[in-house]
This record gives sequence, structure tokens and C-alpha cells, in this order.
Amino acid sequence: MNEQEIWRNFKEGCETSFLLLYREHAPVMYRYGCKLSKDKDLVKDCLQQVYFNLWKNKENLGNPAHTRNYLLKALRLEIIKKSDTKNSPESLPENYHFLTISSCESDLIDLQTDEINQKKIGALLSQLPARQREVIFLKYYMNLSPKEISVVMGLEQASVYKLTYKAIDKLQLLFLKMYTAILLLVFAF
Amino acid sequence: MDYSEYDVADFAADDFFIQWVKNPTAAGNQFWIKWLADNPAKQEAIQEARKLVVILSGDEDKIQDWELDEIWQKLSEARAPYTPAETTGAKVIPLRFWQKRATLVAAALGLLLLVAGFILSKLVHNPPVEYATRYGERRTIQLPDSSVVVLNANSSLTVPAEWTSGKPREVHLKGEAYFSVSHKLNNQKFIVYTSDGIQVEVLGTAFNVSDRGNKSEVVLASGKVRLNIARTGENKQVIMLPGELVEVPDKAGTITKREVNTALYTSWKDNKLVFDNTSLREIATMLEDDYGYTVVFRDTTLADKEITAYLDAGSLDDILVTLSETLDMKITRENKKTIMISNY
Repeated sequence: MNEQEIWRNFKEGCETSFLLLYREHAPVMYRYGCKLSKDKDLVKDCLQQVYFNLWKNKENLGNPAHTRNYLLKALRLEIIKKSDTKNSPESLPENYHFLTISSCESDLIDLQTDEINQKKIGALLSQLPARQREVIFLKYYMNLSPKEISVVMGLEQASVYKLTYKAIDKLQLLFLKMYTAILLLVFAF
Repeated sequence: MDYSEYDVADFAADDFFIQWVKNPTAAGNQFWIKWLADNPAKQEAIQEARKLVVILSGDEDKIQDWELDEIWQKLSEARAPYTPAETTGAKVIPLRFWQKRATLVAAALGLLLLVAGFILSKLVHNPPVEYATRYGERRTIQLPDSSVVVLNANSSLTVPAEWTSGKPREVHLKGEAYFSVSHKLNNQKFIVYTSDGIQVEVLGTAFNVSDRGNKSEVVLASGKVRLNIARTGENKQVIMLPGELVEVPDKAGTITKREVNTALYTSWKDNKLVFDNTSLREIATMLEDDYGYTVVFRDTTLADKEITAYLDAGSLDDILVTLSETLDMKITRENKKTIMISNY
């Protein structure tokens, strides 16, 4: 069964296809949701709501070209709606925290092995503003094209490119900062 | 594409470059090795960009299987009013009817016991359910525990009429299937038995099992599984991690484990075919297993030709046309049983 068949069967009320849609897409939707809000319970609630709406309105749904992108967009709108902020994607909570440089010693040890571990990656990425993280997730993790990203996020394609480059620049800068801090530490001893 | 003016950020944002870092193919390796040989000054930029892509592609926010199941449970309750009553509804109504009449409670209980006894005896004698697919057919099955199985062509899956809680959920497979197993809160195991004595034991995960021809293959997409391999004179256990493939030959022969691009082995379930330096010989085996044809090579050296492609597995004809065009060979269906492959 391919994507379109599953979607058609689901619209006709097929439980298995609905479950398949959930199994196939919910994990990645959750990941995406976590880029939009740091409140994981809110993301879960929204995930449930999106699938609930799907089931409730299944007779009136269209046939999206890409199920996954359609669902990502639906989740995005749901999270924006449920977040306490105003109903605009611009006012998504940008409550990102800054990495403290206090753990330089462990940074040094990690970098000496030249293996950037998962934690560090998470810490670096979490320093990017929410919208940059969102673009990065869609482009690098989900492999969406700039055009697809612009549809999911409701942006111009040009803004997608801009956000991508901004994120890469920022990350390079963070790298540099980390290396400098380590160098200082090395000279201090 | 002219990359000579690219700097680190440009590489890191380039889709062709990203795909190569994330899923290196032989063709990609060849391209970039040659490109670096021509542009040695860019060595450092490429290294830096690779590192960036790896970081950017990472993601920590994984949802646990039990969390997914929890949401699904809540969802099922919430949408119950919007789901048409199924045949099971008929069983519920008589119970309510009897419960309302207090004077008949004793009689109702007696009747219930009878019914329960009847159901129990039926369960004991209930034969297992067998799902089977013909050549060229594919089928998606939802199991009672909400696990999903996609059964590939020419395969069969046997599931007991009922699983006892506390005991492993067991199914028997002949052929090939993709499993997406739901994780139970009580850690109830799920075991797939293949016809050549291999048990795939899981908690909750997604994987592909194939016991076609003279070997069995298990590919793990996510989660963790344990293989119990019982062959003549040997009993072995292998723990598998995501991205690994374990191949078990039927007879003696060594068991091998290697890392693979799991998409190559699981794409059939989405009606896609993915080939990455796959030889025509392997493709012929797939055509024989899944579509029931005998593939004949007019010239045996053709079987060694390799192909890298991603295509829709629409109809068999579509597949053959694509193969023939890509490889520049003559591929014809002689009758309903044979596929001939020859040079033009």
C-alpha cells in the first residue's frame, strides 16, 4: 500500500490505515513539535488533537500531495493555536537558553577525541532561535526541499534560505567561541 | 554544479552535499573524491561542512514507544463517539439488558457463566488465523495488540486467535514481512518464528524479516531485537541494533552481521524499490520471490551488472521498463512465467 492508498482508506474509515498513519508519522511530528515548543506535554496534546481532528473530519478532507508535510503543517498550526501567545507564527516562544561555558574542561576532553557527542549537538542546536531550529530540522533531519519547507512554515522560499544561512553562521560562531574558550583554558594552565 | 566558489556554509546548505554526508553512496563518494583531487585547497572547508551537517542533522527529541501508545489510547477514547459501532456492539447490549433486571441477576450470572464457558471452549479450539499473499500482492494487517504488519508478496503470517497476557505474543512467518510492533506497558514480548528455526524476539520496534531462498535475513529499522537461532547442532543468540542486518544461512555457514541502509530493505512496504549498487542477480531473485517469475539471463555476465535507483514499484511492467532503460538491456516477459534478459 502506498501513501495515497492509505490516505484514501483512512478517509473511508479504515482503522488499520488510521493506525498506520499514526505509527508512521507521529514520531517525527513529535520531534518537529519539540522545535516549536519546549513544553513536551503541550506537543503531545497537540499531536493527539491533530489526529482527533483528522478522524472527526475524515469525510471532508482533501488529498494532500504529501501526507507527512500535510501533518507537519497541521501540527504546527495546532501548536501555535494552543500556545498562550498571539495567533501568529512570528510570536512563537523563543525561550532558548544559552550554554554556559563553565563546563570547559569536559568540552576539552570531548573535543580531544574529536567526536562530538549527542549531548553537545543538542546543546549547540538548542542555542539557535526557535525558527532557525525549525528550518534546520525540516531541511537536515526531514530532508525537505526549500519549497516544501516554505509550505509547511508558511514562509517565502527566500526566507527559508535566509534562515538556513543564519543558522549555519550562528553555529560556526558557536563553534569558534567554544574553541576560543578551550584555548584560553589551555593557556591558563 | 560548479562548487569551486563554495565556502563552508555553502557546502553545508547544499542538498547534494547534505545527502552525500548523510547517506553516502558509491556514486557520491566517487564524485567528491574526484572533486577534492581537483580542488585540494577545499579540503578543510569540506571537513568543516561535513561536521556542520552531522550536527545539524542530529535530533534529540525522540518520543518513546510507550508515550506513543499512551497518546493512541487517549485518542481512541476521544474518537470513540465518531467511530461507527462495530459488530462487537451486539455482544454488549444483552448484558446491559440483563443487568437492569435485578430479579434476574442470578439467572443472568448463570447465563453469563455459560456464555463465558462457551467462549473459553471456543478459544481453546479456535484455529489460528492465517494471512497469505499471492505473487505481486501486498497486504497490511493490524494485529489485536495494534501492531502493524505489512506482508510482502508470496508470504504468509499465522497469528493465534488470541494471545494470553503474560505470555509472549507469537506469530509465524513464511516469506517476508515488515513489522511495526507496539510496546506493551507490561513488557510483553513479541516473537516472530521463521520456518527455518529463527526467532526474532522484540519489545517494541520496527524491523524486516525475510526467510526466502536458502537464507534468513533480519533488518532492524529502530528499537532493539534479539535473535534466537536454532540450527542443527547449534543454538545462538544475537543482539541487533538499529541499522544492522543479520544474515543466517539455512545450513551450517557463518552468521554475518553488517550495517546497512535500512531503507534498501524496507522500502518495498511503501511500494518503492531502492537499489544501491544492487546486482541484477539480486533483483532477479526478488522478481522470482515476489512475482513468481523465472528470470533467465541470455548472457550470464549480465547478472553482475549493478544499478543504483529509486523507483515506484507500480506494476511489474513499469519495473521492467525502468530496468531495461537504465541498464540498456532487452528485458521481456516471454509468457506468464519467464522474464528474459539479454543484450540489444
